[in-house]
Parts: sequence; C-alpha cells; structure tokens
Amino acid sequence: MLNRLPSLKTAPAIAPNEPLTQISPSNLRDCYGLTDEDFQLIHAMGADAEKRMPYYLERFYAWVELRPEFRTFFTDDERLRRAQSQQSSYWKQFFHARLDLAYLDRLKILGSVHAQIGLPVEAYLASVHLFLELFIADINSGEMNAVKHSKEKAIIAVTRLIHVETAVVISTFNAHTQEIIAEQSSALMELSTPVSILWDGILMLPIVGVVDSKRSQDIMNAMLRKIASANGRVMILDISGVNIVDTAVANYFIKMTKATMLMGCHCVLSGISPAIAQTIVALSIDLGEVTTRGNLKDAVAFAFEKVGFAVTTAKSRA
Amino acid sequence: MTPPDPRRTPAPSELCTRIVSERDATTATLRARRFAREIGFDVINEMAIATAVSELVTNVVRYGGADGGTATFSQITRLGRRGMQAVVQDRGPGIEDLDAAMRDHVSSRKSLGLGLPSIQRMMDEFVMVSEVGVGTTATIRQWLR
Repeated sequence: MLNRLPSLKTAPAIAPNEPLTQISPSNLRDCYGLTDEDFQLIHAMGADAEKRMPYYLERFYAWVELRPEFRTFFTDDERLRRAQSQQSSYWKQFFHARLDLAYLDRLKILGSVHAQIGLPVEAYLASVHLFLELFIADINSGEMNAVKHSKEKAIIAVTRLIHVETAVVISTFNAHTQEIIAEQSSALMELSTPVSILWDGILMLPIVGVVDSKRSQDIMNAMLRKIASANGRVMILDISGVNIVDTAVANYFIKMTKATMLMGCHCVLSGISPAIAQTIVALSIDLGEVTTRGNLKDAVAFAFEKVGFAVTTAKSRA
Repeated sequence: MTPPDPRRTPAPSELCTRIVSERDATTATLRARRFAREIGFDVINEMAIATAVSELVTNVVRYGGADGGTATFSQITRLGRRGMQAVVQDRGPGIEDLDAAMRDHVSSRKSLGLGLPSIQRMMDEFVMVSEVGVGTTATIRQWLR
C-alpha cells in the first residue's frame, strides 16, 4: 500500500482570474508585474532610444552577419533594408510602452512571421537578448538621459516589457507549431483506412498506429462501405501495426467484427503479436466468435479456404 | 522548419502529461510505453504498463470532468529493485463504489467493464483512492524482474 498519496485538496495560493495562456493586456500586466511607473519610464526613454537606433541596428547586424541562421533571410540589400526599417519601427512601438490589443496583435504577427519563415526560436530569443543588453548598457552609461536618476528601475521596467514581448512571440510560435502538428496528424488519419480487395470476396485492411474513438468509427465506415460495394465475404483486419490494445480498443475490434458479420462477411483479426496476445489474456477480453490468426499469411490462407479457393504451386497443378 | 537538435533531450526521471482530450490520452499512453522501455522493461511488460496507463487515462477523459487530469510517470527503486510508477489523477466526480468498479463486467457506461480489474491482474501494485466530489487518484507500480 502507499503511505503517502498526493493530496487532491491542495489549491493554488492565489486564484488567478485568467489562465497563463490567455494573451490579454491585463493578464500580461499581472503576470509580468508591470506597473504604471514602468510604462512611464520606458516611454521616457523613447526619444533617446530613437536617436540611438542606428547604433543598435548596426550592432545587431554586425552580430547577425556572424550567424549562419540569419544568412538566408538577408540575401540582398533590399530585404536587409526592409528588415531594418521594420525593426526600427518595431522598437519605436516598444518604447511607446502601451500594452494594448493593437500592440499585442503586432507582436502576434511578428511571431507568426518568424515562425512561417522558419527562423529558429533560439535565433529570435538571442536577438531580443542582444537588444536588451544594448538598452541596459545605455541606461547604465547615462546615454538614456531621461532615466539617468532611476537607472535600476528603468532596467527592471525594460526587462519586464521585453519578457512580455517574448512571451507573446513564443506563444505565437508555439501555436503555429501546434497547428502544423494537428494538420499533419489529421492528414495521416485520413490516409489510414485503405481497404483493399485482395481477391474476389476477400478484403483487407491494415490498421497502423493509434485507434481512438474517431478512428475506429472511420475504420468501421470504410470497412462496411467496401464490404457492400465489393461484395466482401471475408475481411482481414491486420492489427500488427497497432500500438496498444486496451479494453477500449478491443471493444472497437469486437464491434467491427460484429458489424461485418451482420453484413454476411466473416472477419479475421491477424497480426496478433505475442505481447498483444498476452495483454488480451490479461485483460480477460472474450473475443468470442472473432477469428484470429498470428500473421497475415495464415489469415489469407483462412480467407481463401472460406471463399472456396485453394492455393497450389504451379508444379503440383501439372 | 528548424532541423532537429542533434543534442537529444535527456530522459527525465519524472514525466507529467496533462489529460484533457482523447488525443492527450493517446500521448500519455505512448509516453508510458517509451518510459517503460527506457527503464528497461521487456516488450511484454512495456505493453502491460502502457495498457494499464491507457485504461486509466481513458477513464480520465471519459469520467474525469471538464478539467481532466494528469498522468505522472517516474522511475522508482525499492530494496535495490528498480521499477516504474504511474500516478493518474483527476478532479472529477469520483467513484462511489470502488469495490464494484474493481469487479469484472461492472461498467457505468456501455464499455466492457474490464479496465480496472485488468490493471490489477497486469500490475505488481495498484492502488486507487477516490473521494466523491473531490477526484480520483490511481497509482500503479511495476518492478523489473
């Protein structure tokens, strides 16, 4: 027995109004501790920062030139100029220090542009960090004249807003990646119910990967449709590529075989590996009338017999 | 997109997966299998662990309530033996009659009703704690032979 089980009753110390994933001005202000003073300080630096922008960009592009990651993006002078002007207006916006929906939208666009062109997220983070270093150096040196009497507070303020920026951009990067994954997996799902005609009256469907409720429904539909259209008498369901057979998956298979039988088609489950056989025993699932075979070859032999074919070698026929 | 990092992420000693959707349940099941393999279980035990986890996380998706739950896998040692532990937790409505749920062919919905009793058959240790209105925590352990 377990002595200590994790308590179910522990609640977080402070109940937040919104989840962290909620990208909203109020939530970001809360999460990153931005105060009105922070915004005032950042805003005050705006004029100095704008004067220094050519210097920042020069430093940034000197750094970029050494990085192979960026090389593909700045192949010609025209693209480089465009990128520089975008960057300059982007930082101008930053020093406006207004955390509103319009600003967040701009950041989201920035994030998705970066993700779409395939810029590594590490490259984006390192770039932002470089700018942060430059800003901090200028605050410390007194170059940011407007905040020379509150250097420490200014550094904290800039750091907080930079963190907000990266949070929004990374969250967009992440959403973009998730979208790609979802697209790919749904593309894979659609590909994965190919019912083929093996011989007159013999159909075969290899099942590969994960069987969940939606997928099992897709498989069932594809099977039954093909049985009707191809006049199937035996359906071979090869499950050697199935990851896990638990009671839910076994239940799906039982339902599939029942449905095929109702259509007058015999169903054979093949490709039952030793591990899956043991699991089915441990689960004490009663496969009942379901015919099973260890491998596809035996299942095909069974199917031929069932529809009244015999396979003989060419020599023995002579 | 970015090429994969050549430096492989080191295997964690603990791995937690959030379970809300059926897809999460699949992810957790596949992770359980990989986790078991990395600890050194053979294919039969790897499959048994993954199947047991699959039963539990499927229950979280079906009955665990809107907030779902979590599945946490960890490597454990006791008296020089190594093993794997999986804790599957939800804050759902809880199970009223745990004893009944542990018996074969008892299901509140139209499923086989074999899930929980099977876990008991497959795993070295299985503890389930449930409180109505609070949630359910299931802990399974399997030891390397």
